[in-house]
Amino acid sequence: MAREVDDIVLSSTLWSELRSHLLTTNDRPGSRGGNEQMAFILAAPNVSASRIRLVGHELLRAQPTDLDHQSPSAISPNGQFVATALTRCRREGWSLIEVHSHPFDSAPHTTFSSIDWSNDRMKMPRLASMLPEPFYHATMVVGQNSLDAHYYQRTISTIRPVQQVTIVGSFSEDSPVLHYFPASSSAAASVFPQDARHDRQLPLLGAATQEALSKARVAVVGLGGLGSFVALELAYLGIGHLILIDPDRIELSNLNRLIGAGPDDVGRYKVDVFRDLIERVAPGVEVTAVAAPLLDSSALHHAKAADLLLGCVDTHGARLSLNHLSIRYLIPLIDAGTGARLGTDSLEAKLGGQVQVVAPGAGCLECRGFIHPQRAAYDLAPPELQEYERDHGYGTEEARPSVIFLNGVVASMQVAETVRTFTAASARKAVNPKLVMYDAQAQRTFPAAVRYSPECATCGTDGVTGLADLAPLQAAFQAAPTARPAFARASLS
Amino acid sequence: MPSITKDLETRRRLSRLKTEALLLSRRFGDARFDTESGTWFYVERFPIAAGWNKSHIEVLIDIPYGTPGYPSVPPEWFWTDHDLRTTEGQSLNHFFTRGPSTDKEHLNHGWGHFCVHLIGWRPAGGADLLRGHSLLTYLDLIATIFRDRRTLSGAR
Repeated sequence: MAREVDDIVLSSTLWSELRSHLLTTNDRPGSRGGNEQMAFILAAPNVSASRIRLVGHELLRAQPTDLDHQSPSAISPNGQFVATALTRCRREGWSLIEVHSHPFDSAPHTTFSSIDWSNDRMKMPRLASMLPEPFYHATMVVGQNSLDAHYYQRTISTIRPVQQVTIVGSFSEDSPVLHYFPASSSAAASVFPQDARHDRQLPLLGAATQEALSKARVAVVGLGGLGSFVALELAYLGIGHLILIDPDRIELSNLNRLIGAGPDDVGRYKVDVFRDLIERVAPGVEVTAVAAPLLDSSALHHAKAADLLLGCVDTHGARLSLNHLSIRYLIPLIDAGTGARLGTDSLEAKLGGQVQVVAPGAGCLECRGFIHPQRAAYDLAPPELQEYERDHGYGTEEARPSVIFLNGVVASMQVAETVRTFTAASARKAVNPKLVMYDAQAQRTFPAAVRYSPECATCGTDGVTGLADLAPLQAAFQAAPTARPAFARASLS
Repeated sequence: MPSITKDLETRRRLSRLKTEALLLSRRFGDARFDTESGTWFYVERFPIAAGWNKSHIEVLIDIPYGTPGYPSVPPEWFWTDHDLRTTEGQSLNHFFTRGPSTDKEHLNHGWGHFCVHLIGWRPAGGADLLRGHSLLTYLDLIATIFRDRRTLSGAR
């Protein structure tokens, strides 16, 4: 059976611009207030192990000159506007989401009109025949309080419902970075069975949050000192599905801090040890264990299916890769790190960590300065270049000190932020900063300001937001270029 | 028809390299790049400070081509004239006649490998390459390196 398109994923910025365009009456020259409005969204597919998502990249608003007809109950674009969008889809590989408004519809279940259905039944098969796979075509209708969406499933030549629209990114300082808008035509939510093992946390979290956790798919990347805590805490909390990603095996020197691992586990893959442990302590949690680096295709195939990424890595290359995965696929990232600096004559000892959220509109690890360029370059270089660097004394680092109590505090901060991510705005009590520092010696945390930088090469205006499968992550040695020409120096020619 | 899904990242990198080549050509003359895959960048006549046996050198820069790659991942090292010396004929520190095992072709064509690693790197966004780091600033760094004759030559 063909996999379904599960949801449409949009950044909070794109969603705000879209809603403003669709539902705001204004005095723009040539427009008539209160009319249906429309736009195209150029989107990229995210085809993963468990689902297909359409990730919005660029909004093309229809102006009055782009329309053949516009009224309070109907709208149709002109051929030129459609041709421009389809040409970009064909040349650049985008999928297309057509959006129009029902501006006077304030019902809780806005849905497509019979005219909308008639139009879609006619044009969707036609577009599918004109644009090759992996082109996806979806349409969406937006009312004042609700929306509906469906797409064309070409393998069975049928229009199928999209389950929801997922908005990633904050609308304000105190709003969560994940919002879900169920589509009116989606399957009715099943009754959420209460698990008595969570009775003691239910008064704190609330039923809605507990249910959201039970449906969530969270990737924990790195199962070391931080990740071992995080994975187990999430299992105890009742997360629905954990994706564990780490290429390493357990070593003797890990046993001072990998919570739950013991001497018999030395030599086993970390992800296998923690999968087995979680299955024993929380059998209701679904676990996918991937013993591979993040940039391995098997790891990426599962990681990009996640609703949320948790970064528990200790290399800058892995951290940079996670940053790109988050921005390109519009998957929020909660990254954590710890550090210990031994004291010297000139420098005092430091012990601490940080937890930070990466989401559209809030900046990313690169523009916040959390990526060390030399180390990232080494980590991501092909193996022969890494060997060359080591031969010249670069790329080697002594193992840094690491202790369980520091990891436990920072990991718990990361898990707390995970729970807040799945807590609806109405239930949130306080402003949650996007970056929190922890000073272990002073035993205090303090928020640090972050800001979005439109000039950032990754998360900024001309960055990689929403490129998804059109520009997938891959290691340099996998993206082997055409044989580099033997480039003779000009002065020798 | 080439696979679009495979090429978007390459197309973005090529577009950026094209703009950087245009900007650098205004300063240094001929600036070229790998128009197929965006894996290298070349300046034919790069001026360096006095004190060396040449006033201009050729510079070949390897561009990180994974994803993430350039510009998130900075360039490191660069290739230049293997016969570059001080005016007194001394060889240079940080300069090697052997590169990575996959670059034998370069070594057989007169290149030496110069070591540069970056501590700070804030890549410029595509809209304005003059705000932030890019190959323009990397070449500025190379020019600065060659002004430090004392460090490079090991002179006391």
